[in-house]
Amino acid sequence: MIKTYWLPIYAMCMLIVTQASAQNFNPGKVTVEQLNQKQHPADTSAAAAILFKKGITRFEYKPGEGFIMVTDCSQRIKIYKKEGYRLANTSIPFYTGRDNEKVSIEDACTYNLVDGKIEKTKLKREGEFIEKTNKFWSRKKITMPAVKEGSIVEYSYRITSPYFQNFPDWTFQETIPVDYVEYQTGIPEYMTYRPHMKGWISPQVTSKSVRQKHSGKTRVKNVRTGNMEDDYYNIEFAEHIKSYVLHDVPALTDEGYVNNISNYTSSISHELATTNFSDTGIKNYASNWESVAKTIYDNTDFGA
Amino acid sequence: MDYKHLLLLCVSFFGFQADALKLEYASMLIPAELTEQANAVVRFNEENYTVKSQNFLSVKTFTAITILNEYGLRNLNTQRAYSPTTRISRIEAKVYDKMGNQIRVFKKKDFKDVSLADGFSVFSDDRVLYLNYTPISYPFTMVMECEYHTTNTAQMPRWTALSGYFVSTQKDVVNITYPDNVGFGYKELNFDKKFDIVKQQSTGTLSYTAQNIAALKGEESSPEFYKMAPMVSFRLDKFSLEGVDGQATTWQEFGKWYHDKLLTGTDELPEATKIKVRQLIGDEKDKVAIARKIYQYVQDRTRYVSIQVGIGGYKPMKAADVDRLGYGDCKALSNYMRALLAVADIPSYFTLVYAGSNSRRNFLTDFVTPQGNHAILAMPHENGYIWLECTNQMIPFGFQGMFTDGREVLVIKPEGGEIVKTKNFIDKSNSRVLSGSYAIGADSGITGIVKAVSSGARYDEIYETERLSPKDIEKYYKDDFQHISSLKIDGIEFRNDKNNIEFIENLKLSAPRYGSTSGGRIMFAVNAFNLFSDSPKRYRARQNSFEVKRGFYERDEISISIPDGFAIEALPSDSSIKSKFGEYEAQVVRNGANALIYKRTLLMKDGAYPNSDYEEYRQFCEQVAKFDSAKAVISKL
Repeated sequence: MIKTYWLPIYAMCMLIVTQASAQNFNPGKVTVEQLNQKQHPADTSAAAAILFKKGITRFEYKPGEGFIMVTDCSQRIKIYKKEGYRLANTSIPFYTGRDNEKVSIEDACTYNLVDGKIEKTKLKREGEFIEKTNKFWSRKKITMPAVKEGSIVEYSYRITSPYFQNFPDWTFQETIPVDYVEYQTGIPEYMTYRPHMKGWISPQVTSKSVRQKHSGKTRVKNVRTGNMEDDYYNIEFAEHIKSYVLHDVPALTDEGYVNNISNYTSSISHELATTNFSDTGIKNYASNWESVAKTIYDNTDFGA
Repeated sequence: MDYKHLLLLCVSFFGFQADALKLEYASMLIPAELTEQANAVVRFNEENYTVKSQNFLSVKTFTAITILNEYGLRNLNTQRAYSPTTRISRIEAKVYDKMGNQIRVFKKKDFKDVSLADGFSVFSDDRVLYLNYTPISYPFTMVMECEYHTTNTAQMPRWTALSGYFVSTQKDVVNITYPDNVGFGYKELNFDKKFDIVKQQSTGTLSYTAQNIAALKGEESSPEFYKMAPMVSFRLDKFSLEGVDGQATTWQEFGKWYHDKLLTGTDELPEATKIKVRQLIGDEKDKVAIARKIYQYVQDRTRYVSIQVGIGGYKPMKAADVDRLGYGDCKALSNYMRALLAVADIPSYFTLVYAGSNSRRNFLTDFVTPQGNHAILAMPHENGYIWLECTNQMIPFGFQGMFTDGREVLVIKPEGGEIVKTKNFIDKSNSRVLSGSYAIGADSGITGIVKAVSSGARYDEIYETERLSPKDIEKYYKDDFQHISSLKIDGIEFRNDKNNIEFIENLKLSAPRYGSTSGGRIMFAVNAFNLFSDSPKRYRARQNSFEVKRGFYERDEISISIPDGFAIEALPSDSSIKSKFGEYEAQVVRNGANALIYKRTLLMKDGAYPNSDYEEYRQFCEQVAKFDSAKAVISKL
């Protein structure tokens, strides 16, 4: 009797708890407690901490054009000390080849506590820069306004890419503590990626598949007549969704006898193995070292 | 006929068949005296500058350099910077092997085009074309030709007849032509008689030819290369800086121009901020106290972010923008501080300086051009100035540290500019005073406490330690006391006295085996906490003069107790050295049967000395190090 009596309440509590914590990881919901926090509870020497970092990479279907790879990322960073100010500047590299990748900063704000009230300062265009790093790469750089000790900075950005081989690398661990980090991939059945995990701390992985249906009509130009015509499309495919979650990831700092810290940083990268679109059939990408060597050899700019 | 001429004959005989053979680049034809202490030799360098007008300078350069070995590779300069105001019209490079055969050709498209990331700017519109050349063998010769033009005539390129330590010059030429209405000027620097440099001058042209200058050897503690290498700087009375025209023959005129064109109108603040500043001041009347409060306000709400675009490399961002955004570069933050001080009716002046902790670089005071690489603020106080570094959020008010001390800078006042020397931290002003005690045990272990008070440059070196993580602090002290094995730090307490600019460390230390034991005796170094460890490198024949760039003063007094049942057997004798480089004194005196007092002072003076003094300096350091490690012996009764 007692058990059954308590169960729903327990479940309700769980629901509230998960909801409360889930809410904490949503952009824009900065609390006075977070702003008031003077040092990181688990790592008192941390100059800053990532309160959450969330990302999702998936493929959007665009009628008439096909798939495009979209990555959405949002982060909330707490600055404890002046040494953490560097975290208020960030740069996002993107590829500029024949078709450009695009980076857009969606929401970027600095939160401060002024006389007990939350003051929000938005990043404006003056704090955004594009640096053409070289022939192939550019960087979107942002520098956040009104950053002081105790500030929270938060920003979201979206990278859209026509280059399926440029699947972004995702790091779960940083040089400062990360309280919550989540990454999701949504890959349509037409593509196969090989995930590579690195580092000592492994995230919790969950997978599922969902059916995606897109139908409707779009206007396309008839190549023969030159007239605009309705084109009806109806596609249905399985999207394989994987999500990776980690809580309370400690800071990873460089030490002696470490030749490259990124070899030890918990991260995931994705290598495109095959694509299988109805119009082009199965296409294999770099799958062994010989073909990697060949690709490199054929690329006139490699090592230049 | 020697081998060299024979070869010349042979090659010139057959050479016509190979178009790509340039015999003059064969590395074996370099005179032996130029390769003797060189890693690279500039075979032929020619720079042609044509000043067309106040805002147009065109430049053509031709450089052939032979890199003799891998150490010389760093002297291979394959880059050319450009920006919206500086355009490169032609750039190409050719590589020749040691026989003079052409092996590679690089066209403009082969050069990489990258953002000139200086490592700290968030954004800059400066870019660079460069070549990433990996040599396949040494020696090789690279010939680079470049043409560019710029609207910037305020900072004309400088010609140097030597391009670095361990690099010789076979022939180096500069030709400059200019119209008579721009007020052309030049300044020769380090033109020593030993350098063969010929000057030619006629109306509207000036040229120099340097020939057969053997490489200077890089040696420890040498002066900076710019103080050694023969070079010529050029300037115009009528100049243009990123599209802003100016005219100045004196610092007074230059400062006035800078103030009127680049500072005026940048210091307005919103009314709300002015009110805040007035609230902050309250009833305070003392100007220094008010400035201190405002400085703290700036430190608390700004951070250093460098954005350099066009004239923005010289003109500060508006104070109102810094106020709103909470960031800026050195110019922006200094100017913001200036604007805030103005609210309190305290005048202060924007100041240009060559910053750098390793050396104090002066403005060329008789050469009126934009100089410096950093901005600070000068606040008049009594008969001098209080210097304010506005990019550092941790530094105490009025303390500029080693970054900008003791050098000639340009203070820009509304009525004009003025060259002023900043406060200098030399010799005794850089002090560290040590006091404490330790007990040596029967097992030769020690436990001790020590207090250190640092000021001046010594403050600058240590004050940020308190912000390190506990782990890094421990590492810092283990390095500092590396002469004590198995050191354990039992307690650390810091006090950063920002008002008196003193940093106080209180440490508790212990180590299980400090001395060495043998047959009932313990031998140990009396000076446990402050070993002088500089050991200047020995040179058989020192060539360069040398500098002691940062003098200091140390005074230690440590009381030592020895264990019961032991007697003092031997103590180091008193030591004292006096020389032009500094003074040293150390003594150990008995204080009862079981105690000693160790006293030590070391004064190291700032100074510049001729090469002939080097050996004496080296011995001075060696002596101090030797006296510092003198040992005492105690034995069991």
